[in-house]
This record gives sequence, structure tokens and C-alpha cells, in this order.
Amino acid sequence: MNRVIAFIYRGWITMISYKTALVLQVLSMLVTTASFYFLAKLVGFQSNNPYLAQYGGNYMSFLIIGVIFQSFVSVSQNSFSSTIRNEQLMGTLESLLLSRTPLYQILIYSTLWTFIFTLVNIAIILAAAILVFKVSLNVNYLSALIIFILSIISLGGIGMISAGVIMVTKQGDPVSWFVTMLSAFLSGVYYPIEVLPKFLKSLALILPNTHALIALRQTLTNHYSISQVKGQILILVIFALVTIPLGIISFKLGFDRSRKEGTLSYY
Amino acid sequence: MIELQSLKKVFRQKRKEVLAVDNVSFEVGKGVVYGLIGPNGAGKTTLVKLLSTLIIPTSGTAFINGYNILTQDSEVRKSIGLAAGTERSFYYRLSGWQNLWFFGALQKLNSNDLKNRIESLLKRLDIYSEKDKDFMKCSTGEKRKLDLARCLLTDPPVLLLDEPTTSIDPYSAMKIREVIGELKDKGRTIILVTHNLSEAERLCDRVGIMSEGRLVKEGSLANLKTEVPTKRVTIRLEIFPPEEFLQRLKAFGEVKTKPERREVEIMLLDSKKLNELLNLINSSDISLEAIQTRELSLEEIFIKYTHGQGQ
Repeated sequence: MNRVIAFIYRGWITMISYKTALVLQVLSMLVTTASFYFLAKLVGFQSNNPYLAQYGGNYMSFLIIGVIFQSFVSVSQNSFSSTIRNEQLMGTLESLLLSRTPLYQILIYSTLWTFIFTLVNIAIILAAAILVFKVSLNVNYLSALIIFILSIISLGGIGMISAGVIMVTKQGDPVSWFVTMLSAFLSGVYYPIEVLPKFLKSLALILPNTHALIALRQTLTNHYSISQVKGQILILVIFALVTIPLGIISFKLGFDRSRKEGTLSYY
Repeated sequence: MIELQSLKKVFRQKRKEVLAVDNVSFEVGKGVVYGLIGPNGAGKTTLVKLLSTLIIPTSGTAFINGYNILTQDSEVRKSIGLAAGTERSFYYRLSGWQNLWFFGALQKLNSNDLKNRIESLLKRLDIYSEKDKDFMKCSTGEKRKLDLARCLLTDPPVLLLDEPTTSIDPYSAMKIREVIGELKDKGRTIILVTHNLSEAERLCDRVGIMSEGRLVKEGSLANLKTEVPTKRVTIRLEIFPPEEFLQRLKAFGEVKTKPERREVEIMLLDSKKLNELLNLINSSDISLEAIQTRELSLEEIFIKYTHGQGQ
């Protein structure tokens, strides 16, 4: 427990030491939420748009959920590799590795603060959306939580593959770049996948992000139960079973290669 | 406690192979301070990183506290404390105390034990009053002390100290040397990488001299000095000798003169020839006023074995 607290404490102290950045980040969130509001106003809050019908027809809630999901996709996929990159830049990676905490735990604990901070960001965006912009949600908390956790786990596997790559390349991680870009473009963050041409829609359905986002929207706006999203749950579980072992192997390979080349402290 | 068996590391850099550590073998017993000296680029830091499992050797292996660095790396890490001598291994936005608490928590130390341990280490190293200062605002001496404190958090049996006193003020260096001395008295096994040869003479029981990745000489300081047959002989004569006499002296070794003091210094290559040298002086018309012989200092031995490399 001490170690979990230590990593969170380190993240907190570091963040509050950059006060201006913190204030600007909160302001950015609020401005972004306001931008979404005006965008939704343009599209129409309760439009008759057939693409949005299955998500309750409210573009604002559609967009907010997409952005929230994308934040977590970004954290899940990038935080492992960005943690390694930051420790390389600060020169602390070797000191961490010399500790009695196993490497995989260091990797997971290091990302805790980013997850917590992202949760706070999302809470602010959601609060603004609900209280100020009157976005209404109809949440099934249990199924939303399951989808949410499964998404983080399955995408975390990709994050670990990225961390293995960054261990060797130091900067420039094609895995993370490719998946994050594809996710934003194809998985229905800003628009439903139904608007995509047929071949792109087929491609979108290969991504676990797409299924996770569809399920998350249904559980947050239409109160879908677990049985109603069981198809998506199954896809996410299969994806997690593939990506997590791949991520562990990839990270171990990257770590050992870096030790062989003597480049752990390089950046 | 530490045993290196033909440890070798070859790095591949831009299609070239660079031999950083070349078949190095030596043993360090419990409670021994082993000094590793050598010019920059000799492979000392690579050797320390190999021992601390941060780099995987190309061939050979080493045992630390009975654990193999190749197959029992996590046990090795539990047995060692590494002070890497680099400032870039701490979090700059955290204070010294916060840094030590963070790294201590990773070592799975109990909260109270950790607090007490940090407090006693900071007090021992005379930086307790600076504990809340941000690491980035600490002086180089304070940073080195924090580096040493961190590697002592778990009180490990083996310590790898890479230039712990380089570039710091004499008081901080003295304090760090005091603590190293205490650790030695407590039976800790220490590998001390240093450029400070007087520090090595003062603290180390044995010394290894590295050059171009190889361990060119190693042993106790006394042995190193006796094994090197060279002695420095300084003679003061009644008059400064003529050139012809100086030429005869040069047959014994390198000669340096100080005419104003009527002194001649001879680097006697073979100490057994001291009698021969004295006979030569006695057989000349010049009276000998004084003679002083001394063994080479560690610095002179170092230069002899590394051929002045790195100077």
C-alpha cells in the first residue's frame, strides 16, 4: 500500500509544483467543454438525426462520452510508454529498477496518478456538462463500470507493447501513435461509425475501442444492462486475453534489449 | 561476497564493437573496501552497472552475496545499494526527504522504520536541516549525500559507490568518507570507484586498476607497492654533478635534477640496484650529503600501469 501511496504522492507533489500548468489545464478543460456545447447547439440538442437516434439523439452527450472515453484510451495506451519516457528523461529509470518493487508493478503504479488526474478531468467535464449545459444521462452504473474497467485492461495491453517499444527507441512509438490515431478517427469518438463508408466501418469494427465506446454510450445514456452489452464484453475480454500477454512479453523483450545494449539511462 | 568471473561487455555502436569490460575477474571478501581506479572510459562505471544488473554481460558472470547476476538479478538487487554518482537519478521537484521516502517505499520498508531510517541517515550525513529543500535547489554535496543515503536505506550488505565524492566541497567529501569508513567497520562490502587516489589509499583495503576495459593490476595497496620494483631515490650531493656523472646515473632509470638544491631524483627501475647506485656515488669524487628513498604513491603506480592514459 505504501508503494501505491508513494507513486500517487509523487504525482501530486510534482503536479502542484507546476501551478501555472495546472491552472491552464483546468481552463482548457472548461473551454473544451464549452466548445462542445456550441458544436452541439449547431447540430441540435435533440435532433432527428437518424445516426444519433440509438444514442438518445443528443449530440452533446454523445460527444462528451466520446471525449471521456478517448481520454481513457489515451491514458491506457500512452501512460505506460510516457512513464518510461519521463523516467528516462529524468534519469530515474535505473533507480526505480534497482528497487525491490517488481518491474511490472513499477509500470502499473507509475500510471496511477495519470489515471486519477484523468478521472478528475472527466469529473469536471461531466459536472460542467450536466450542471451547466444540462446534458442528461441515464446510467446503468454496474455495466458502465464493467465496460470501463475491461476497456482499460484490454487497451493497457497495447500500452505495455508501446512501453516495450519506447524502452528501445526512446522516442517515437509507432504502436501507440497508430492505435490512438485510429481510435480517434474510426471508433466513433466524435461521430457515430454509421457515418463512415462501408470499408472504414468494417475496419472500425475490428478495433476493440469501437465496441467499448458503443457499449459505454449505451450503458451511460440508455441504461443498458450487462446482458444487453454482453457481445461487447466478450470482445473486450478476448482482446484483453491477447494483448495483456503480448504486452508483458513485448515489455520484457524491450527491457532486456535495453539492458543488453546498456541504454537504460539513455534518452 | 563479490566474485567476478571473466566478466565481459561488448557494446555495438554504429556497426562497431566497443570492448568496455574485457574478461575481468576478481573477488572481494566480506567487509573489504575495494577501490576501482582508472582513467575516464576505462570501464569502471560499466563494471558497476554490470554488477548491479542494469546491464547484461556479453559473457562471464558475477556473484553478489552468493547470487548470480545473470539468473538471480532480483536477489542481487536486494543485496546491493548503488550510489551512481549522478544527479539525474532523483525527482527534482521533490524535496530530499520526499525523494528518500519515495525510494524507500519502493524498497518495501515499513512506514515507521523508513521514517526513522531517513532521519538517522540525514542526521549522520549532516543534511537533516536541508531535508525539505527541493532536490533541484540542493548543492552538489547535498545531492551526493542524498545519493549515498538512498543506497543505505535498506542497509544492504554490498555497496557499489561510483565516484561518491567527485566535484564536491572538502567538508562534504570528508563526511562521505567518514560514513564509508563506518560502513567498512560494520562489515559492509564496498566497491568504491574513485579518481581520488589519496581517497583510495585512505579507504581501500584492495585496489584494482582498470585501463581500456581490462583489470591491469589488482591487489592490496601494500602488495601493489612492493610488486612495483620501482623506487624513487633522491640524493643531495656536495656539488651538483657534471653531465658525465648524470649520464651514468641515467643507466639506473629516469633522472630529474634540481641544480639549485644540488639534488638528483632517480626513478630506480629495479630497487635491487640501490646498492649498485650507492657504490657508484661512493666511487666518485662527489660526496653524498643525504639520500631519501620512497616507494611510489598509488598515483604514480596508477600512471605507470595506465601509461598516463586519460591525462
